[in-house]
Amino acid sequence: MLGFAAKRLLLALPLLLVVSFLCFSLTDLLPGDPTAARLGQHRSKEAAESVRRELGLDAPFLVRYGRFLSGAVRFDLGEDWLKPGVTVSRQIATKLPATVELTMVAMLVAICFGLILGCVGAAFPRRIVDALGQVVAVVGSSVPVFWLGMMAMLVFAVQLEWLPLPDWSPRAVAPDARFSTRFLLLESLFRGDFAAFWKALSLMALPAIVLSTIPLAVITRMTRATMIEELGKDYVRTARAKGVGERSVVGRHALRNALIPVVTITGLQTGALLGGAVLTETVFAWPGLGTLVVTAVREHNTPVVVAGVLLFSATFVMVNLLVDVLYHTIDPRLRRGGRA
Amino acid sequence: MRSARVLRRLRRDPLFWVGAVLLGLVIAMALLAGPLSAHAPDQRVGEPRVEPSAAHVLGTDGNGYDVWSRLLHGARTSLLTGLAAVALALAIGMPLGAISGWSGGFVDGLIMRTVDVMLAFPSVLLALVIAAVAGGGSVSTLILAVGVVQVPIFARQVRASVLQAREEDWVTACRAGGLPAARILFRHVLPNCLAPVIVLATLGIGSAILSAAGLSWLGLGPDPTAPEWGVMLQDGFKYVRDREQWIVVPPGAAIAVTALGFNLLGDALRSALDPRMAR
Repeated sequence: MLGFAAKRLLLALPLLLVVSFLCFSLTDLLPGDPTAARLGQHRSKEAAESVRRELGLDAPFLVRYGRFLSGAVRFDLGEDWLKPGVTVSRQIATKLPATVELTMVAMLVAICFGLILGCVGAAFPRRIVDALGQVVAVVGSSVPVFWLGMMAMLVFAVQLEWLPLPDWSPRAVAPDARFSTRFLLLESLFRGDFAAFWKALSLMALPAIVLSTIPLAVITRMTRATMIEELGKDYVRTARAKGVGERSVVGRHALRNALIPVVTITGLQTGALLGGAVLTETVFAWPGLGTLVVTAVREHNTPVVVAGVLLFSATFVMVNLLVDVLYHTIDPRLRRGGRA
Repeated sequence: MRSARVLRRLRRDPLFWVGAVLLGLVIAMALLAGPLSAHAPDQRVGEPRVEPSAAHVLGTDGNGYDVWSRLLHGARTSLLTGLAAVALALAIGMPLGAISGWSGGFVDGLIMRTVDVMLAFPSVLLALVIAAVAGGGSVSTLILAVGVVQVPIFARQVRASVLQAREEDWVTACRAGGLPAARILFRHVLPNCLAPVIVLATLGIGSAILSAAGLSWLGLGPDPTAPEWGVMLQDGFKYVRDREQWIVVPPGAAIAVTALGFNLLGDALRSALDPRMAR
């Protein structure tokens, strides 16, 4: 088990290395110029040269990549081009918590509702609940997530005023509490400050539900398809013949076997989820990594773009690795025979 | 014989018809954009942000452009972007996958590792960076960014199909007959691998349209005068808090309808081509 995990990790390292190289070389082509931001339009050639030297931009490409890489493994990702003195690592550290909390809650919502909709659909195929689940699945993969965000905001925050307009800041969550981290949801929960937790949850509700529709659609479809397959197998008939209750047959016998492909697809959805997070965060002005990267791309703030894209991709690679390992844990058949 | 069976299955699938009607609607919008719109799509034709009225069926947007005309002309841009992006992805991905699956060994390893690296990026993010590097500001940038991101999908599928087909008896027969490898691969093997590719391409057009709209909504697409649905959303988004929903509802709904049409069509094709995959 551990040996397998270690082997997968070793295989992921070269992939991450290539990903970092591609990231760096691609963003290196961005038409950004740090001297314009720092010195203004009317900069002298000499001043521009000295800024470039200061940022190490006069070195050849491979040297710069080497410096970037040796810094990156120590979490030193350079300096923000547009905000002199602010490191990129600091920028990321302040934005990361909001993205982590948002994507986690969205994934949780998607997994819960996806499993329920898929199971119910498989247990009662071609009935109203099933049709509903199918519609959710197809529509969920067709509606642009950023437009869904606008519509949700328009209906639930602007017109009905059921939920607050998104404003994810310590002040909005609890005006008089002091947060020591930026994990507003988790921190208010662990402190036992339920008023703040409730407020944070209501602030997060719209973006999280909107973002959850991306993985929700796929998880529902996958659960339904594999559950229908499992429910048609002999062991399910045997269980029913023995007199096991229908809820137990669906929920315990079949679901456990159906989970394996569902776990895989959930892992593969992380990429879509992270991409969707970029768009969702921008709609809701969510102070997370996605907004940071989009702003940086617009402003040609290259160091922030490299760091952001690299972090997103590394997360994606690591989640896939985790899923692979998890897959081996769930399925006992794969545990012995080595590689499957 | 086989295609007749596929067509029969398609005809019996209600979801195919729903998808076909939705797409028919969008295609009609694109074709009849000129005659159906009373105003130019990219010129100021009235006061900005006016509610729908007889003069402007869907009202005007923040620049004083007619929303209805822009919606119709946007169908052209969207369909073009989706089709061109998938065509680009096919043009690169199919030969790559075919060569990879046919030759095996080092070439296969090299191509597949490249594809793995591309798949390690969340696709929206990769498209975002490509669009930014390409400079942004036009439909062709969108097509490039969205198309390149889809290359791995086709390369992988074609490789898998070619790997399978390579072992079949009729391929051995071709070889024994002395046909050159390239001819066997591109004239005989590849056409036999097309069915799953057609399904993926149909679904791919839908997702290409979604991603392209997302990119241009983020400001990496054509300039604000262009009649493009993502651009329209960018403008309309500013007025959501002022309850001016007529600017922002139509383009989003149009994107959703188009993507839904392609998704339903792709799903229907999949189950018609491979009944075991049927819902």
